[in-house]
Amino acid sequence: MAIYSQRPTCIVPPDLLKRLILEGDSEVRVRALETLSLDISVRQARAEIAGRRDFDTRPLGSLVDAGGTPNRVIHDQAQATTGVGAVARGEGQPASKDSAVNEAYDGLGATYKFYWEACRRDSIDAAGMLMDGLVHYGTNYNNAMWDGDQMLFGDGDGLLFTRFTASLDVIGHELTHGVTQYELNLVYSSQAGALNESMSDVMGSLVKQYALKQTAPQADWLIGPDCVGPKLKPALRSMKAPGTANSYDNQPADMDGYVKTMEDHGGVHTNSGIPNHAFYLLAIKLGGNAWERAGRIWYETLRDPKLRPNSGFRSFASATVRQAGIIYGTSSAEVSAVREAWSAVKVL
Amino acid sequence: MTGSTKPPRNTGMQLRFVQTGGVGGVKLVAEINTSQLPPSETASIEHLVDAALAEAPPKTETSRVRDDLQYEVHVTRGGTTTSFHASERDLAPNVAALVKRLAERAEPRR
Ligand SMILES: [Zn+2]
Repeated sequence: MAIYSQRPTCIVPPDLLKRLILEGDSEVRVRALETLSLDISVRQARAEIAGRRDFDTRPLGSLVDAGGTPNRVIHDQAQATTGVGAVARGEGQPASKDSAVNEAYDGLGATYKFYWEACRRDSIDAAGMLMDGLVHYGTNYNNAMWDGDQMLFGDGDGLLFTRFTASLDVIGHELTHGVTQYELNLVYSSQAGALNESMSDVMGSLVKQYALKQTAPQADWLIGPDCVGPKLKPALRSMKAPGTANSYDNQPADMDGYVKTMEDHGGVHTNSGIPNHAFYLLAIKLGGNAWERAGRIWYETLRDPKLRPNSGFRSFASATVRQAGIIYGTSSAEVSAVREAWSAVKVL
Repeated sequence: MTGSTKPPRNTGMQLRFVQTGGVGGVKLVAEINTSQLPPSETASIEHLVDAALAEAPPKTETSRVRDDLQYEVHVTRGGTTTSFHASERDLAPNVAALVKRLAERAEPRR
């Protein structure tokens, strides 16, 4: 298991927290209250505070390292595409008769577990945010997405797609869009958008590898093999061999194939093949569990305060080299491997 | 062969629909000449196109939605092409109805 976060943690005695609640100024009181409370309503309030992004909630997270338990709510949209459907399964409730509900519940649980155990991150916002999954979104709907607050999962039409909840890497992909929103908040356009997409594929794949206890060479490095229908089999994307996942896959594996387009926010799901492949090459070069070193470097890069939301491939690549240097030393094998990976895809 | 009492032949609309994005990032395309559809369908789809074109353009504010499907619709009629672009989370009602009709006929493309 790898612990990505380098931030110091210390435990504040409950008595001090209580005193802060009674005597502290309003921000201190809010934070102390959050720390003591683990019930859903307080977690929701906490998520909202974190969502405002006008101050950093991380010092609290490190002040009292609470967390470690997911807080999931699965809603049944019953084909609706507006509003939020009835709760089909809340945290700790028994399994439903509906497999989509249980898959979403288990998939969000596995994603939470990965982020907590491998990244020491408490949910989407690093502050215990509620994870809302909306299933049966639309009728035969061929998509899953992150809407800025929650994850929506269609059932697929059975030809292009089958139900998206069956795909753990897609659940990890969508939740990671939330993580990115709360960290680097990469702009969803052109190279920054392709990095946003790639981060979701990388972490989505790592969620699956972590759950299956697969090493880098054992993993399939495919995105979506469990939610494609007969027309798109065997998968949506391949990090190992971009452009080969199905008959219509046109992802490039390096900068020679970079696609300039106005479609799909500037080709965000196309050019993500380039950073995806760089990550794959790094993970294979380093060997072992991909989440331990390659994943740690990528995750720390996502939190690099020197990076900007409109970063392109080169800035991001340089930041991964910088982070590898901070974690493993500037003359480490990890730094060389990161440089090699970006060089192979012709970014650095 | 009868006399020239028939109305002028409907040359129809050429419609090109392109869907991109979504978590799958799969491009889907439909190309339709409405004059080649069964008459009842021609009328209803042309009506839907006119209603969609008449609708206010969608908002263009920055969105936090990720993996949304993107749609382009190009309508060619009498040598003139009108196009619009929309995201699935931001569809006016008639555009949504038109997109649903066109998406049913779309096939993946590289
Ligand atoms: Zn995505």
